[in-house]
Amino acid sequence: MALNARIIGATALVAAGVLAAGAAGQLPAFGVVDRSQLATPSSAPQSLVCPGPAIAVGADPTNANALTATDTPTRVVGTVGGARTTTVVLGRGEVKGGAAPRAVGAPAASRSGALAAAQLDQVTVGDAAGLIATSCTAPQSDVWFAAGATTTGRTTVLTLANASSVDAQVGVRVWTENGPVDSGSFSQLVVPAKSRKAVSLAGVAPSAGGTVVRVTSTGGRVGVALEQRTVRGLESGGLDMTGPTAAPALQQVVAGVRVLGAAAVAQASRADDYADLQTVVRVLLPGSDAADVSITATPDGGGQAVTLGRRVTGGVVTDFPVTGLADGTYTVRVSAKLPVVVGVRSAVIGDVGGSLTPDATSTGTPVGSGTSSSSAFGTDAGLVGGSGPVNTSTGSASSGSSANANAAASATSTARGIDFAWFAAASPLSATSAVAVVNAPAPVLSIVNPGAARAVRLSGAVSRTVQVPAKGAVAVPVTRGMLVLHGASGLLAAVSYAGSDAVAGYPVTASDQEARAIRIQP
Amino acid sequence: MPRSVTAILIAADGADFLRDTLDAITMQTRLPDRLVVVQLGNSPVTSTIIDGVEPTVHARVAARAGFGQAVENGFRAAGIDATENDWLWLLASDNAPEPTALERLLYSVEGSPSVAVAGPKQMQWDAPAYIHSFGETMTPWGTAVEMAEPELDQAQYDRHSDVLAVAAGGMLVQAAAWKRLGGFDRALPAIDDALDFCVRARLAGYRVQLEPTARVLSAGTDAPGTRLLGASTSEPRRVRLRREAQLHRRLVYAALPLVPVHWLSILPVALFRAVGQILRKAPGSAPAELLAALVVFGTRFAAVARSRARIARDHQAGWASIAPLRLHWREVRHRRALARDNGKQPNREESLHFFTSGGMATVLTMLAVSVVLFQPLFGAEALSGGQLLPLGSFDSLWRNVGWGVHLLGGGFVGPADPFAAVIAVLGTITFWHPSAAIVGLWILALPIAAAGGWLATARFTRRRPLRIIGGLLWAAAPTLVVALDSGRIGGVLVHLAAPFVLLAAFRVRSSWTASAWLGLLGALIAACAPSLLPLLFIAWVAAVALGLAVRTGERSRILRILPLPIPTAVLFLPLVAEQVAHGRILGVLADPGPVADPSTTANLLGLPPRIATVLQLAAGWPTWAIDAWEGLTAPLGLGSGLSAVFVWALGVPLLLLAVIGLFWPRQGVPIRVGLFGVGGLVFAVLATRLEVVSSGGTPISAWPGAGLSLAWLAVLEAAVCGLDRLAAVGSLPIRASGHTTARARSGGAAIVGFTAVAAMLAAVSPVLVGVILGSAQVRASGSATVPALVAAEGRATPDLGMLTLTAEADGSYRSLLTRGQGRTLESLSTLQTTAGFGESSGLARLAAGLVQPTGDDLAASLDAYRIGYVLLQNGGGAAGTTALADARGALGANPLLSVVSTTSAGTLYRFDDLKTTGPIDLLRGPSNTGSPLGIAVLLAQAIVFALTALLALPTSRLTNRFRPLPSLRAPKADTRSIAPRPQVVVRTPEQAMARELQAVAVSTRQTEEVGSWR
Repeated sequence: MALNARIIGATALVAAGVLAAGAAGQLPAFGVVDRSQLATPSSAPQSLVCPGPAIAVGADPTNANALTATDTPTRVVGTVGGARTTTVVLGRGEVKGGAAPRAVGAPAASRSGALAAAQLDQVTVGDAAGLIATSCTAPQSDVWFAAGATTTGRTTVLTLANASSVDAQVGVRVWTENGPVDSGSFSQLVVPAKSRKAVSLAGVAPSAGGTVVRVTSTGGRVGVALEQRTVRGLESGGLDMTGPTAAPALQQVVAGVRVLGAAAVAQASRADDYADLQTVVRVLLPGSDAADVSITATPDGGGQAVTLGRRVTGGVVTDFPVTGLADGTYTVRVSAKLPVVVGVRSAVIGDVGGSLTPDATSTGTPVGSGTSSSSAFGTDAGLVGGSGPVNTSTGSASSGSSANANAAASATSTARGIDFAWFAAASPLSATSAVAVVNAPAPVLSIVNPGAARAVRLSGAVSRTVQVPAKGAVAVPVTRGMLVLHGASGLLAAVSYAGSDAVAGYPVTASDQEARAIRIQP
Repeated sequence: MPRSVTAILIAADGADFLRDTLDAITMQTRLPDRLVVVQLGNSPVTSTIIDGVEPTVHARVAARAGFGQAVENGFRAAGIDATENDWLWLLASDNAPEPTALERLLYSVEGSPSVAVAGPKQMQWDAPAYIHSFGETMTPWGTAVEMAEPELDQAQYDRHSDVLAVAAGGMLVQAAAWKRLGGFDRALPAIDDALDFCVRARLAGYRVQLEPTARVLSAGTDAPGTRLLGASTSEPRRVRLRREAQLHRRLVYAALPLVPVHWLSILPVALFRAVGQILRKAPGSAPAELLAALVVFGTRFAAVARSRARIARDHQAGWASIAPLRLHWREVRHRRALARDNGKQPNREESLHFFTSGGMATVLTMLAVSVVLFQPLFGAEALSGGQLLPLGSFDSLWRNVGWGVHLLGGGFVGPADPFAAVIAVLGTITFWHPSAAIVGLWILALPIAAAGGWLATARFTRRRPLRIIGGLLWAAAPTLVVALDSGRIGGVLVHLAAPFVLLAAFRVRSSWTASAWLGLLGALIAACAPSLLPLLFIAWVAAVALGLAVRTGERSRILRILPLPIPTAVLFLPLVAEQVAHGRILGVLADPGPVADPSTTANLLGLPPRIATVLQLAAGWPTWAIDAWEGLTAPLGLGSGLSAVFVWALGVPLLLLAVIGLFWPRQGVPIRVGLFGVGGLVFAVLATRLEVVSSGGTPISAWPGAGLSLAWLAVLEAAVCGLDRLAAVGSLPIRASGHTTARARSGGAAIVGFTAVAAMLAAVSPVLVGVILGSAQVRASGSATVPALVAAEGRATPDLGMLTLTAEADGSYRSLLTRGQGRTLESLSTLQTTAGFGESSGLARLAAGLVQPTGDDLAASLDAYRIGYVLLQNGGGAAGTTALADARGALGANPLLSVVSTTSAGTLYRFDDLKTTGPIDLLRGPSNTGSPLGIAVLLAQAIVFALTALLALPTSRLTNRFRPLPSLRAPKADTRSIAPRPQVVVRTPEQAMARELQAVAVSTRQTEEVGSWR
């Protein structure tokens, strides 16, 4: 009896224990409280850095390494709210001549609206001539450029302008078609406060057919621009100064890629040393792993897209030529399985003997008329770095029907008015974004919509409402001045300019520089 | 000249005593001339009994009247002439006289006219052969002393006749003297009334004498007595009455100039006496001492004056005349020595033979093992890593207890964690460098655990190997090993305390020392692992309920269980109040100390995590120590899921043994211990669901190890019981077998047990060697937890703040403000970790402003919080990397800050223009002794813990030696064997001694049983 009672008791105990422990284990967690705080400090005053004039390396005959500038860029500066802006002249650094870079400022965007600025520099003197239209960018501590080359006749100069009151320690990392460059000497550049420093990439990456540059800064943030000038023999190959492209991401969109005089460019590019006139998409997977990269160039306003895909080795700069594009404004979308950095270059070639004219009569450029059906795909001719087959998605590979006959002739001609531009990948906009449009030929605002169809209202220099189709893009002719995009949240946009002998462009940045709400955990 | 005797019987409600006493009076050989019965109250039963004997006078007084007052009433009611030939015979309802008592008393006063008071020999009611009282006297300081010990009456005291005083019961007193002296003093209503009367009689020139041949009985403390002092009077009340009477007499007897001195000394002496009562393990009497002192100190002026006036009036002989009758110091000492020898009881606690039965050997072995395993910690300045932080200074330890300002984050005023008190006490052991106590604890943890396990096991088995197994298994418990590895100091302390809780729980019903220990250990466990608070509460309620329900006859023992939660309550009440006021009552249950890092989730053969967690806990493992186990199981080629199963399976032999112990019937097998173990497991599981704190947005569950320690204790003891049964099976009548078989079985059980130990050792060994291999989270460190530069500056500026910003994986930032040389264990508060105390929005805004460009005046904020350094750390994750880059850019671009260093710990920025003078306005608040509330909390806690600690000191034997209490009655063993009539029992002392020895032997045998809750 006692035995039974004990066994019953023990069994009950064990059973109760197992059941209770098992049941307790299935309870939901209790007592959880989110104690994080969302804190929003007041916004700092807005500040943009305009990089200043184009800088030439070795223009001084006595010093091959001297950096010189001659021009004084003009600026378009404004805020959405029309508040007064301030301009601070920064130091020139070791660059001789020319205007100094400027830092433009305005009160916080919450009080005066977003600040936007762009500068225009039409270089006519020196060994290279061309149109430079660059947006003034907010100082940042980590920026990427998918642009530049340092082969013979190509000079690439980084302009680092530090508008803050502390020195900036800047590290520059360069990738080329041969992989990453060990740029030890560029790892600790010091940009003094309120000053500028310009460095030539030839120092670290000589004879690079294509470069991708990452600039990181500690201490003060810097406004960085990358300038490339090209001289083929005695002929100016044009020059361009571009702002940062979007940081590595799986999807990149380069808006407002202008193609003008495509046939002439295609013909000219066949000549020796003229291959880099081709329209190319520069791609870098910053890591060491290879990945498939897919590139699509779509004419704004509709039309047949050009798609090409390829496996890209990690850490190697690869230029994808996209030949056979008709004149027009294109949106280039690049997607990859790994984060990718992207830039697009296009070139124009003017009349023989023609000179750069500020008000080039190119307003008749058909905007949004990308109806050309003759989509064709580049050969490997201008490809740097890559290897392997080119995958084409559509159409015939019947490109380059024009003979090579003209190539030699083209190569010998001088001062034909060649210019090129690097287009940077755009970042999503905030609801109200501003962009400054400079006084350059045929300014076009391209708006890319990654989502559902919607309307964007423009105000400022141009007042109208633009319907942007779903997953599509539109190109809107605009005029000089401040342009405000309302209801643009999540869209991407770029401003591009193109004349017969001038091309330039920059993305619209979302930098309203408002302080974000930060989640602070205990 | 015929004498007239009036017997005055004071009859309280006590039917049996009264009937016997009345019968005895009527059977006197010399009947009293008059019988006056004074009834206290008017109970009809008592009235009927009294009227049955037809007394001369049946008077009634109020039930609340004292003895002296009742006698006075009877005296007056009877209208007695106060002539020299009139005598009063005072009797209480239990003073049944022998038939010849009155005759002998009268005979004794016959020849000596100066004798006004004669007293009989009071015998014990239950054992009439034993003396209860035979004459009273005082020490030179006035303490009342019984002249006779409660001994077997062998005429050993009969030569005393001239004494200072006699007891009231059975006292024969001359009516004239009674009247002249005014009877008993009203100010002494219950105790020392007869003594005082006799003293006054002596001073008035009368004599007081004893008559050994006259005997009356006395029931002692069982006597109905009066309402003031009777059978129902509690011991503390008796203490109070006794002390009141003594103090009153002291003030009355003292020479006038000395009275103020005596009066002033009352309260201080009372404090000492109260402490003495606690040391004597009579905590209930301590307030009685204080109360008595207060009463006499404050309310007795008139009474003392009256009494003194009466003595002065009747004074004839000097105090010197009674001096020879007092008990001399030499005699007092002699009596104490005797009482000491008599009071030496046979050792009721069976010795566990710690030294001879393998206990010491086990502990020394574990000490050697521990010295080897924790060798890297020797000489360490402090320990840190895991949940461990260095301790602050001794001063800081005690500033962080109680209720006061906490310099955490934005600062707040509130209660400290109870754990802070534990840390303060622990750190005080090495007060010159508190962190050394933690190092010592880590090194001594294994030996202490072995000792505890051995002692607890010794309650369950006599077998030496099994006790050793118990010690080893307790030291090798996964909970302890993991707690040591991960710096869970709370878990370590709970594990070390648990066996002693079991030991104290065994004895709590019979020992105040055990009760106090249980209270202290309960508070320790609750403070170290608040998640066990509900379990402790349930266990206490169950013990009280069980005591009430089962042991109706032993309710007084519940008194030792009822106060158990007081120390815990006094520690936790301020915190509970604060959390309730904040609506976060669950926060009380949070683990104290730094918030743990998120633990990796268990992955067991694809089982859902919740089930895997339960299994893991059931196997005894509080956390998923997969890294350590992989080293063990990789050579076997097992995957991570299988390796866990393998490691858990190493505990299966132990579980099987526990099941055997639980199911194999044997008296004393601890099913209630098993219940506690199941409770421990359930609460361990519940702890994993309790997520009241979070680390960087990730909820962190409580440490389940504390509950597991309790469960492990139950499993361990059940397993030892199982082994004990296995070993004993040879001697069971299952089959006829000789001693050799029994010995073989016993050896076999030991082998089985040691196999289980070996399996467990194998399972815990990879974790155990963590410290010496450097893979443990705990490591020797300096006493600073901030970068060396900050620590150096923090040494000079203790309130220098460092803000640590960690970019979390979800893109948020974790912000932590430390001061001086970094966080210390005692300074942390669960109010901060659970309820966000000290997390001001200003601090959050400052953090948010630091990680991005802002228009805020950061310099002002940094100055306000006195933040001199900002440390930016990487919390991992893709979003975290972006957040880190953002913050690095913003901090670098901030002209206020300059980069000091960049290490693996993060990037350190310095705010150069920090103003470091004056107090920090934001952190201003009263210290723990700076506000009335803080002082009240500290005082309450200090008093409760001081008293509990005094009670916990094993001093009962010591106090008995120092100041033995005379026993009041005959030894129980003897009373049964005494024949009812002492006259007919004639025994020689040799016979008596033989009997006593026999009785002692019997009682010893009865107390031999080991292991039961009783």
